Amino acid sequence: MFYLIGINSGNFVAFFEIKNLSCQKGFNILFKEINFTAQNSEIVQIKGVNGKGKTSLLKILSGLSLPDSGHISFNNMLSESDEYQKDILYLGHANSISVDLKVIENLEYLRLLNNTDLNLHSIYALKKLGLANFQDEFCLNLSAGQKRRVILSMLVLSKSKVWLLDEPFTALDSLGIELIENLIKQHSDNGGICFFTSHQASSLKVKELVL
Amino acid sequence: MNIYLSTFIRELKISIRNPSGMINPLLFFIVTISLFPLSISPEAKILSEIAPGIIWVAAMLSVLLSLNTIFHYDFDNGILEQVSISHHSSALVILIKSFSHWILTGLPIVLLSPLMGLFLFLDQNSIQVLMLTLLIGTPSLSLIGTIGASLIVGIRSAGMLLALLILPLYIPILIFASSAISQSQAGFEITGQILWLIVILLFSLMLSPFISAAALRINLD
Repeated sequence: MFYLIGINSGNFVAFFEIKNLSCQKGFNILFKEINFTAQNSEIVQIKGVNGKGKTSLLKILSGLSLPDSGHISFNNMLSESDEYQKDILYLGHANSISVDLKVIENLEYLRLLNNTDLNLHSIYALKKLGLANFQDEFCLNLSAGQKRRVILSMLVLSKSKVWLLDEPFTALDSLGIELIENLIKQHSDNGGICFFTSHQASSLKVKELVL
Repeated sequence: MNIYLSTFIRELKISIRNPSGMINPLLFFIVTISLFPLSISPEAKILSEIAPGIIWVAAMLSVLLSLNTIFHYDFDNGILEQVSISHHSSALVILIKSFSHWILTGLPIVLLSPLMGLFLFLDQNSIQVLMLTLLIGTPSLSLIGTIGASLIVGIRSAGMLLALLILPLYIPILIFASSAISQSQAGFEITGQILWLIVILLFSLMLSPFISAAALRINLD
């Protein structure tokens, strides 16, 4: 709860900066010298046609791959540092769950890898995502949309200030999309920054980053 | 719960629920060894002479068979990405993965080896030495194998490539281990070979997690 109070009293500053970022894959130059900043409460939709490097950009922002030039910082922490990683939640294309494990076991493991609010119970997050009675189900028996919901329940638990979501709405039904949009909005109301890629028009008020 | 402990428990759970990954190498170990008395000679003298080599080669190949499973699934489903960008040390998480690989494949081989030794008419003293060399040697096999597995993680059907990368590194272990057993059969001192096996174990314990973490980072790019 202290976390929320801290934001409301206004001593929470978030400043995300991308400077001269370039990325090349093979002979293909994906993007060149991008400059971009995002501050408190901003939601950024990364747009671009297929193969323009949206996923590559998110991977670079997450610290997973290195850019060919330029650098990224959050509150003056460079993307190579451990502190930076604590403030970043990256949910990629893959669902990051093992089909041989139960829903709750997968979620608990993901929580350990990320910075999450320890006061919140994992089952509470699953309930919010509409997986109330599924915690002991094996992920093998879930549908594609339900698997997506398992990993997206990290959004309820995460304490990271910057979210990087790669196509968060794939496989979700319209209610699911609305749910995730609300979670993103709530995150932004709390002062967080969210980058996401999507081809769908969303009801969120977004700043666009066009590749 | 601690990330390292839960990585260990997670590996065990996955392999218990999907046991073929662990049982296949073990069956391979038993089947290969039991073919030798049929094909070469059932005579005790000949078998006990070639037993150290046979058991060690079979152990090595069955560990090699199981290496693919260390990273393959976690790479496909994206968990390695999460491990790599988390604020925990990915080298330590990888060390735990090598350790659980050893628990699931190396340790069963160590425990089964006395039986295999009896199959091939090894005397009691040699069986003890055999178990000792396997106990020190198989963790090195898992650790060095982890390096190979992390190098080929993105490549489809890279079984042969893995063997080519890893087998040369396994050869010193094979030489020291099987020579220790044959020396003990002849009644010689074996401290030298055992110490060399320990040196190899310590070296791979120090280096393997860091090399594997670096290789995985490159493959995840």
